[in-house]
Amino acid sequence: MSKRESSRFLITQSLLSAWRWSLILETGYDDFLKTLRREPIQPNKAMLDGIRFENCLNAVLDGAEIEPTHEWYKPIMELYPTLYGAQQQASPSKDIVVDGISFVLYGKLDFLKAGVIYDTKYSKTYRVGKYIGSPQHPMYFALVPEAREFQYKICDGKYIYTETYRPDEVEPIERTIKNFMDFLDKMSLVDTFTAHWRSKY
Amino acid sequence: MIVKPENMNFSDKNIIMIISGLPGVGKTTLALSAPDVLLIDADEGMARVNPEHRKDSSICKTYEELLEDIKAAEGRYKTIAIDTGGALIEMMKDWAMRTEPAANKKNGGFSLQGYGVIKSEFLRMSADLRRKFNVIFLFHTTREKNGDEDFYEIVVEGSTRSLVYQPADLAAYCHMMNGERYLGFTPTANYNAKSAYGIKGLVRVPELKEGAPNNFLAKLFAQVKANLDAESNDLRPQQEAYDKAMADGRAIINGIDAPEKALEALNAVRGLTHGLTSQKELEAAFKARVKELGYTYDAKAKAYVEKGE
Repeated sequence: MSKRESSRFLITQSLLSAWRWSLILETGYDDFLKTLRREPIQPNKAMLDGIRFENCLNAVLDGAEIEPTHEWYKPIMELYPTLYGAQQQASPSKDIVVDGISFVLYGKLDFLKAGVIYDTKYSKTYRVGKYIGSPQHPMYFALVPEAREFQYKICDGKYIYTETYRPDEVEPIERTIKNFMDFLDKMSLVDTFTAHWRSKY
Repeated sequence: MIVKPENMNFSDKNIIMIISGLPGVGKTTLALSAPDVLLIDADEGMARVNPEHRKDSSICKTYEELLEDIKAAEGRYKTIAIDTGGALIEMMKDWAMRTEPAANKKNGGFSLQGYGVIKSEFLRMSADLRRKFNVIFLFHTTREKNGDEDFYEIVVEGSTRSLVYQPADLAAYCHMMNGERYLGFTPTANYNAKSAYGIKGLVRVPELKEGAPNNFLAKLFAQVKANLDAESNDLRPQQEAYDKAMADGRAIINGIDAPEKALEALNAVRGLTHGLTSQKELEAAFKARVKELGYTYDAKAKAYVEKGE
């Protein structure tokens, strides 16, 4: 390893989420390897819908008009009072050490307002409890320890559902990272990780 | 009406709660422990309750009858318990098919639009009930396989399964463990639940001894209100610090009109007395502001400069 290279490694919630889905979905492993190698992933329709919804919501929060006939008028109007005035796209980072390895946690928060982190999701097939095992809220609680709540705001196209988590209910992110590194070790993927996820800072 | 945190009062707050569990676990008796309760007995659950603990109940065959009984209950009861939520949705389906032509498929089945109608009606009804009563929705559960784990899913029309949790403040899975009854308020890999207001994890439901008052949920609801007041009191100083820091910080950030003022502004923002997440929010607002103004940080000069300088 060059002396000039950083010896810290970046960890994002999307990397940990891709790993989690690789354990759940049969097809998840290939997507996880792409994420691990930082290869672009072709967005599917669900992902594109999610991006479209997010853009529409942000535009309305920034003052754009939305017609009552718009397909997302009702869910966006439902989200509006909660998210209006929230800081968008705060991007905190944090150094941590797990098993002697230095990591930089990094996240981009959809919305942050008065101690609550909000993350919007678009899921046509939402089922209650979908995000209970997600590494996103534990990761963001580590990044924003002063947050008192994390709320997923999920839109299925018509309705808004909320999943709320509190810091004292979640597994510390360090444990997830340890399990992740153990998995990489078991699958001989540590070199791939270190090659692609070295922190630039 | 805008209410300041210091003036908030939760003593009149009504609670919506879901209790789910396998048939026979004691959900109906538990629902009858709520304050001044009327049971909407769509499942004939009252017949299985120990006569000592029976309360007033409404037996109705149609959704219209149910709405009439609820209207008649206004001012007389503090809690409406619907036994079961699954039966309520079936009643709503029947009502939608009779009253909404779009709810009927040509082949006689229930249409997609019909599900839209009952979803909207469920949310409307829940919001309306909350204005007047505490509400308890009981749901039977059924065991399903989720990988290697057993998952106890509520028995209700599939497309409404997530929706019924939406208006609920609390949702608990009622189950037996080592001969004792528990309510699980925190979701697990085995069941859905919803914790709030400091009510979380497993809460043991004491055995109901002969002659003892059936008041478990009345006490729980009182606890919720006490927790809400305590949380509001705890939060107040932080909220006040947050409000002040956000107002002062925004004024500082909006005042940046030259690159040399940016660092000074950032330091001033960091020097404020912060509350909740005000520091992170203001730092992000600062970043957005300098980006908008076209400034960039020059690490050598340790200062913000115009981009391209």
